[in-house]
Amino acid sequence: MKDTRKFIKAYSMVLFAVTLTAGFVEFLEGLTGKSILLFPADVFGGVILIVISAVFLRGVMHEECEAFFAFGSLMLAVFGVLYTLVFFADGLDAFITGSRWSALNNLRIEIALIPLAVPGLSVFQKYRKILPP
Amino acid sequence: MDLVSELALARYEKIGEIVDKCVERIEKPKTFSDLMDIVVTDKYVGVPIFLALMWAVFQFSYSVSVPFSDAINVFFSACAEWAKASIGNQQLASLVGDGIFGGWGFILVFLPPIAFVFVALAILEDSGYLPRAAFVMDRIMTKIGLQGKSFIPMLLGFGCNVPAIMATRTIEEEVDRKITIMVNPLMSCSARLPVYMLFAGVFFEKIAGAVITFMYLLGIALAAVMATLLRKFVFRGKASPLLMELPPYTVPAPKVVLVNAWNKVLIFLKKASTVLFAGALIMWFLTTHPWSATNGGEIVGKSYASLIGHAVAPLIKPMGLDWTAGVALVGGVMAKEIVIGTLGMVYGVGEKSVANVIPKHFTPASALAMMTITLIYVPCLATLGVLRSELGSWKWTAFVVAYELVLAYVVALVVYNVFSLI
Amino acid sequence: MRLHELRPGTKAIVLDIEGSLKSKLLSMGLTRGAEVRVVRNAPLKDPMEVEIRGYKLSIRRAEAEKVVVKVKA
Repeated sequence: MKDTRKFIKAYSMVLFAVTLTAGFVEFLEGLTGKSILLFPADVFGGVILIVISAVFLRGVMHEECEAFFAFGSLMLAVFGVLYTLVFFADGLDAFITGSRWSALNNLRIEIALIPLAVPGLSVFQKYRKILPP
Repeated sequence: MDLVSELALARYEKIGEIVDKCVERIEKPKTFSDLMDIVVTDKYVGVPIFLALMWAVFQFSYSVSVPFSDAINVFFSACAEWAKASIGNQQLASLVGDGIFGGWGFILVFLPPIAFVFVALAILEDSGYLPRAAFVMDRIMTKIGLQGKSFIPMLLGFGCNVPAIMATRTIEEEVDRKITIMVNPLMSCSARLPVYMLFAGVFFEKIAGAVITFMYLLGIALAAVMATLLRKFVFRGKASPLLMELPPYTVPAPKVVLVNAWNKVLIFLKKASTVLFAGALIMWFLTTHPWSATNGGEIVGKSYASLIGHAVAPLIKPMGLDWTAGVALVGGVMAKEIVIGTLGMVYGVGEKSVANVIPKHFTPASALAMMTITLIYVPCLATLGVLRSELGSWKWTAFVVAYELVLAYVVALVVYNVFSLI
Repeated sequence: MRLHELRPGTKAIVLDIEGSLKSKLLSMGLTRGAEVRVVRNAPLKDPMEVEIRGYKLSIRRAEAEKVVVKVKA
């Protein structure tokens, strides 16, 4: 039990660092208008990642760190799935309206981060099973 | 000792007896919901989490639904083209093509965003998060005459006011719901953005972004002011307490979510589409008639719509606007982005070259006034349709239109004069 | 004491309810003698969450002020 807590705290710090960095990149790009592969220039998208990073950080400082870890991971997954949907919707729309669209330029880092949410989601699922609703 | 208290007490005593007999309580130190609530109502990250989730709802509703709306658009445009090509009588062809197919296409493009908004909201509601959202946001919203549950409909208004107004059904408190509906059209929907972009881009080049942001903030500020005024003077003395249960969290059932969204689509089709379709036909008639004078809708400057534009011209003259702006605003009643297309038709240029022509008819100050009017004056036809169906009375709908017209006039006049001084 | 004065975690017994919302609050289970527990305050302090009769209720401070309570030792 103590070891899992340790792991959760350490892993929360990793996720905190990853989401914060990615968030800042998107945010700063959004301000300057430039963008690199996987990181679109998106001020709001950047802020969202920074919020997620804040949830992980808050968890590390809180006695209920598992809850923050699970919920932060849920958010990471939700946004990953959301941007995947947006990705396909944009592609479909380009097809319907006959405009140009490149899959590579529309991929975003949040989609690639989905696998990192798996440990947190399993904690989430475990609590849902063992605790009363 | 009063009767009401004694009755309630007796009732709960009886309930307690029955519950004790049939429910076995286990001492539970902590529930799953307790854990989740610690996170989502946290002092520091509670509000940011809520705003992030709202951003997700917004993206899901208005980005993922786009291809479906565009498909409907493409389909009905093709139908209209086909009708116009295959019907001999020009006037009839225009009625069927632009009036009927155009009108139906116009109504049906609203279905995808409505469906997606309500899928997202049903997930939030079914999971149990919605009351927490109200719990977290209530303090801020009561400051501006609204309440916690008003936040989501107001936010959705930035995408489209139609699903936003339909989303007020989660507000049980009657007065709060009415106020939220009535101020919702002041949220700058995405159809107003092209108008802002055109005018800000032409007249304020370098600070266009700031000007557009100003229009959004102006809408929010006016909504706050109007909500406070409505509560104080129109619905005065009616307190609406926020007493709501915070239920345990559950996993949303896909079937419930989909049925809910489908019902909302049906409500829109049944209740709002008749008003909408009639309105679309009236707008078609006004812009294409008298038939021979407009050369079959080619010369908007000679149409009935233009007559109305000329009629309002003296009214909007004090803010530097001429009759062409008047005609454009009449066209904008149908849908606000049509303001640009109508301007193009009035000046006899395509929609894409409007930017080259408008400096002849507008000054920076009057452009600002024009943007302000576009923001505030009458809600678009589709919004009007749901206003009627959600407020449930023509009287209140007319009230909304009236206050918005007056507000638009006054604010545009102020904006024009203040800017002219600078 | 009034309900709005209680800190999170405190348990109390309802003594009386004042004001125009009496019947509404009574029907939500805030009857004389019922036990309430303050669970938490919202991030901006208002409203507050209380547990009563086994369920969680969100109530604004302005309304909680009308509930007279006695803190349970």
